[in-house]
Formats: sequence, C-alpha cells, structure tokens
Amino acid sequence: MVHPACLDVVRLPLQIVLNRNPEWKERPVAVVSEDAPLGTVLFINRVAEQAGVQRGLRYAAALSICPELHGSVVGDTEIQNAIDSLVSLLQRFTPHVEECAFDPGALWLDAHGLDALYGSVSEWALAVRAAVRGQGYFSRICVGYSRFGSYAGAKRAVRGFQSSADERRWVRGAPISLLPLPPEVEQRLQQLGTTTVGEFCALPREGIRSRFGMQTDAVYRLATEPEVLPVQGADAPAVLRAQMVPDSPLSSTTTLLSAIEGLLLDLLSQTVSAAQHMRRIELELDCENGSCLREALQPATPSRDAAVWLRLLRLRFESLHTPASVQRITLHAEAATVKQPQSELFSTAPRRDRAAAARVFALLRARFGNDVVCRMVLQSEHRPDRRFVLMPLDQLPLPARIRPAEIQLVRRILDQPVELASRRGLRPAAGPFVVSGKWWEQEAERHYYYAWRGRQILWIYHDCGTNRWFIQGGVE
Amino acid sequence: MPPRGVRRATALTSDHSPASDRPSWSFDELCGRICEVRPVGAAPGASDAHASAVLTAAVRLIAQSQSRGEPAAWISAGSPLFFPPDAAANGIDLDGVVVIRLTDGQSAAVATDQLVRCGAFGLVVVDFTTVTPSIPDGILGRLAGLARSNAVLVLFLCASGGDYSALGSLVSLRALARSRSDDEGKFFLEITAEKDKKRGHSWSWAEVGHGPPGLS
Repeated sequence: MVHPACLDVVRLPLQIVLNRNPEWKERPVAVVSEDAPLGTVLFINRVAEQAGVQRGLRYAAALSICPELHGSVVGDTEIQNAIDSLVSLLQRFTPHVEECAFDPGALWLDAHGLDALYGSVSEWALAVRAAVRGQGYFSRICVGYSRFGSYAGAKRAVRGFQSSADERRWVRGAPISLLPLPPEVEQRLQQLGTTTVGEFCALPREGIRSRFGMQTDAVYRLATEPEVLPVQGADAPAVLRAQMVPDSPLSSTTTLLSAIEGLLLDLLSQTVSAAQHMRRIELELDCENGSCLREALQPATPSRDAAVWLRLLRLRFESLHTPASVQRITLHAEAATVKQPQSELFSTAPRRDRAAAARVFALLRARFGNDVVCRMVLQSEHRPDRRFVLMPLDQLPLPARIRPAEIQLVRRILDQPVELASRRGLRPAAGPFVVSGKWWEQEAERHYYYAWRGRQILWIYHDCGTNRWFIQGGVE
Repeated sequence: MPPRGVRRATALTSDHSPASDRPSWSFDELCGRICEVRPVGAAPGASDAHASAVLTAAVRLIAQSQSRGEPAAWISAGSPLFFPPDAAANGIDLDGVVVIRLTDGQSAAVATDQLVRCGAFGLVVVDFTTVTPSIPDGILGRLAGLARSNAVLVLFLCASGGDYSALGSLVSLRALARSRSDDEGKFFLEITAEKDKKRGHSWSWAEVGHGPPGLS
C-alpha cells in the first residue's frame, strides 16, 4: 500500500518573515507581492486578520485598515533556500521527498515501509514534525492514501484516514478555501456556487486553464488525478571524482593547468552522459612538501559548458601559487539536475539583467576568492562591531522600493578597532554612551564617544576592562 | 529629433524624470556619468566645523537609486565599510546592496569594469579612500562609455588630495562632500561641484539632516 504523506509548512513565506523579524510575532504582519501601494497582500498572520486585513487586498488598502501593519516581501530565492534546507532535513526521515509545484510550503514524503522502523506511521509523522519545528517552522502532516488526499488533510490538520474511501469522502466535502488558489479565483468560484472540493472537481476540465489560469489548472489536475502516483523524490546530488598522479611532480603552472583541464573535461563528459550539470568543483593539489592546497569553484548556475569552467579555472590560477611541486591532483565535482524553464513566446526583457550579474559574481569569485561578493545582514546585538555580518551572495537581489528617509550622517566602521595612543588633540563632541552585553561571557563594558580631531569626527570608545581607548570608526 | 513641443512616448514612460534645470546631488542628475567625490580636506572656505561626508553623499545616492528599483554595488578597495545600521536609517534596503570586498585598487578597477560592463547595476560606488586610485586613462575612458550606454552612475570616493583630481580629466563631475552642524544640533550635507562637464560651471547643493544616534 502506497503511503504518501504531506507536510504543510503553514504559510511558509509568512514564517520566513517572522523568523527574520522575531519582534513582529505579536504585531500585525503581511507578506506582500511588492513593497509598493499597489502590491498585493499574499499572506497575513492572525493579528492582522483580527484587525480586518484580508488576503488579496492592495497594500495601501491594508495599511488604511490597519496602520500598524508590517509588510514585507519574500523573494523566490529566499523561499527556495528554505525549501532546500527542509528537503535536506526530511531526507533523513525518508529517501523520497517531492516539492509541490504550486504551493511552496507543501512537501510530499514517502512513508511506505517506515512503520517498521518507527513503530507506526504516526510515530514517524510526529518525529518529522518535531524535526521541522527544530528548524523554526510550524507544520502539519497527514499520512493518506493519495497525494491530494494527504495534501488536503494536512491543510486541515487531519493526521490520517481510516481507509481510501474515507479519504475520498472527506476530501469531496472539504471547502475550497484549503486549496492554494489565487484570491480572485477563489472569490469567483464562490460566486459561482462552487464551495467544496467535490464541486470544484466536477467542473469541466476543458475550461479550467483558460478561465482560471495555470495555477488553478495544476491544482485541478492533482485533485482529479485518477491514479496514485508514487512520490517523485529529487535525486541527491551525485559527487563525481577524478584523480591523476603525474609521472613526475608538476611545478609549472602551465603544465598543472593543462593536467587539471584534462580531468575537468573527463568529469564534464561524465555529467553529460548522465544528463546532468556540474554545480561546483573542489580541487585538491597534494604537494611534494606534504601540504595540500584546496580550492573551490562555482559558476553562476550549474553548467556543463567546458568554456565556462575553463575560464573560471584559468582566472583562479592567475592568483594561485602552489607551495611546492604537485604530485597528485584530485577533482571532486557536485552534479545536479537542472530544470529548464519553458521559453516564453513574448518575453519582456527586464531593465537590468540579473543573470549577467550572477555571471560576473562567479568571475569575481574565481579571480579574487570565494568570499569577495557578499551582502550585509543586520543582527540584533548591542556592540556596534556585532551589529552586522557579511553573508556570501550568489544572485543579485532586487532592492525593495523604499522611499529615501531624511539624511543621517553615516559612520565608517573599522574592521578591527585601532588603539588610540593618546587623546591629545581630541575635542569631545558627544558621549559617553554605555554599551554592554553578554554579561555571561564577562564581556567588558564600553563607553562610546564622538570626538573631533581636526576636521574629522572620530567614533571612539573606552574599554573599561582593559582601561584602554580605541577608534571604532568615524563619521563621514 | 521630434518636432518642437512633441515628446516621445518613451520619454514619458521612462523611469527617470528629466534632470531639472537646477543641479542637485541626485541619482537622476548623475546617472550615466563617472563622478568623483572627495572629503573636505584643504578646500578653500572650509572651517574646522566642516567634516568629511563622502559616505553620507554616496549612501544618499544608493537610497535614491533603490527608490527607482536600480540595484547598487559597493566596491571596497581595502577600505573599511560603512556602518550598515546608519545606511538602513537612510532608507537603504541592505539586502539590495552588493558588497565586493577587495584588497587593492587594481582589483577594484577590474571589478568596476566587470560590474559596469554587465549592465545589471544602476549605481556602482568604488571606495578608494584608503588607497591611491590606479585606473589608467584608457580604462577610465572605456568606463565612461559603458556608464553612458548602460545608464550606470559610477561614483568614486577618493581621499582628500588638494586641488587636483585623483582620477584625471575624464571624470564627468568632481565634487567635495562635507557636513556642517548648526547651533540647534542639525547637520547639513553640503556638496560643492568643482567641475561639471554637463553643466559647464561649478555649483553647490545642501540638504539638512541629522547626525548618527548620539550626535544630534
């Protein structure tokens, strides 16, 4: 008996926003399609719902109903990253995990045969839920007899069904509000008197796509699926390996590069025959003096184009120096299956080409190191040097359209504070501002000041623990 | 050229409003150009009450570019970075700012060329305040052409270097950025364009603001 289970991470984009801003949990929050008055409200939390905000409203209308509403945009990349981390977590519980094409928070899991390992399927489901909770996401799980039955059950917090007939009967009577239909489609269906899933499935197949769009058609096809298809798990990334031990150790960069290119082309032919692309390669160079040099290369998107890889390899070798002659070369390649999007008949070229930016990031990483391209992420810490971290960046994010605020002078923060040898010549401007935190780590208190030095405004602090003065940065 | 009094529809739908007659320190005014901004240094007329404001001037342009949906990049040539909470207070979406951290001016020049060439950015800020800018005239001339054709504003932040330009004669605008405080604790961002190839004359612009937390 096939046991497809469905895990529903309830309103995943909203949970991403709340995990990003934990202080918003008790406030009205909405996920909007764009941070502009005409943006559409996609998801809301309970507080916003109680304040009268509804899905499908324009952001401006929602703000007029609830002025305290916090709106945020969640990008596709952010959602995909969250799903990827959930999939890798769930692969510890079942070998087959399938993403839902039309609902980003839903994942199908193959529960077949796992009752022997966990005692019962219910125990297995509880373990899965607890693991997802540990990742910071609230979820519901239902083990059913069909993919759509388990999906609908998870949406209504039903844990399971007694029989296949029981599942079918329950699904037919369930309201259409549990389906991931666009708000305007749901409204139109209700105006037409279609209020249950059974009535939705009884609609003529031919007109669904042309009348209600592709997403509704995908939901309809799943709901009316005649056979129970097995869960189609994504393949785990295959790791390919190629190694070469030259007859004599290689000291010249040219011969070394030539040998690596040979190995790389060999790996590429393997990925081509497996209908896959290479996502990343790791290069290990074992030198005669016992040291091992490791380098990693990653293009903008998984590729099996030899020209792309060879260009990145040559760029990396421009700045690479081996400490001694190389006696063994090993290449590890991570292969991945790439989904090719359907080409559009009338494509509209965006003003800025994000794919071109991703290609440039890959080139810069290959030439100057893997950590040169990054973005700043704020953290809720007291000490200024801990208020942000730099995170690596692969794709160009689109900026939210925020209205520029009133000018505030900007400080520059040094990577490492510089000790102030003498305070002679400094004129106090403001301070002290006491900053302390992490008392459990016995972190010393700091007193921050602004001081003039000539025409510079310095940002300095006194470390009470060591009784020394440091320059943190300046106002520029 | 359309007949007098007739405007092309593309101009009406353009994201960028036409530059106003009065010059200002704005993204619309500077888009498609190479600009150099320096701190007050030994500028004539500067008093001890004037401080450098190059970071604030750059952050102001990033906020304006983002409000028009234009991605921005910040290339650091070994210079310390701006304090991100201050940028966020100026209305910047930090997720939308790409930071490229490099160690020397030559690498920064290569990265600038690549970013401007790809046409994915509306604004590229290159922080040369702790290193001597090392961009040959040939590359700078090519950058000027790319900036114009891809509608990118390339802003170089340079150290104070007296009366001469750190980058040479190919920059389209050379300006000084300084801040000044008044008795009420308000701060003014003052930009003085010493050379503007588009306007043909020098100009100045000022806007009132406030200091970072604790200073105003």
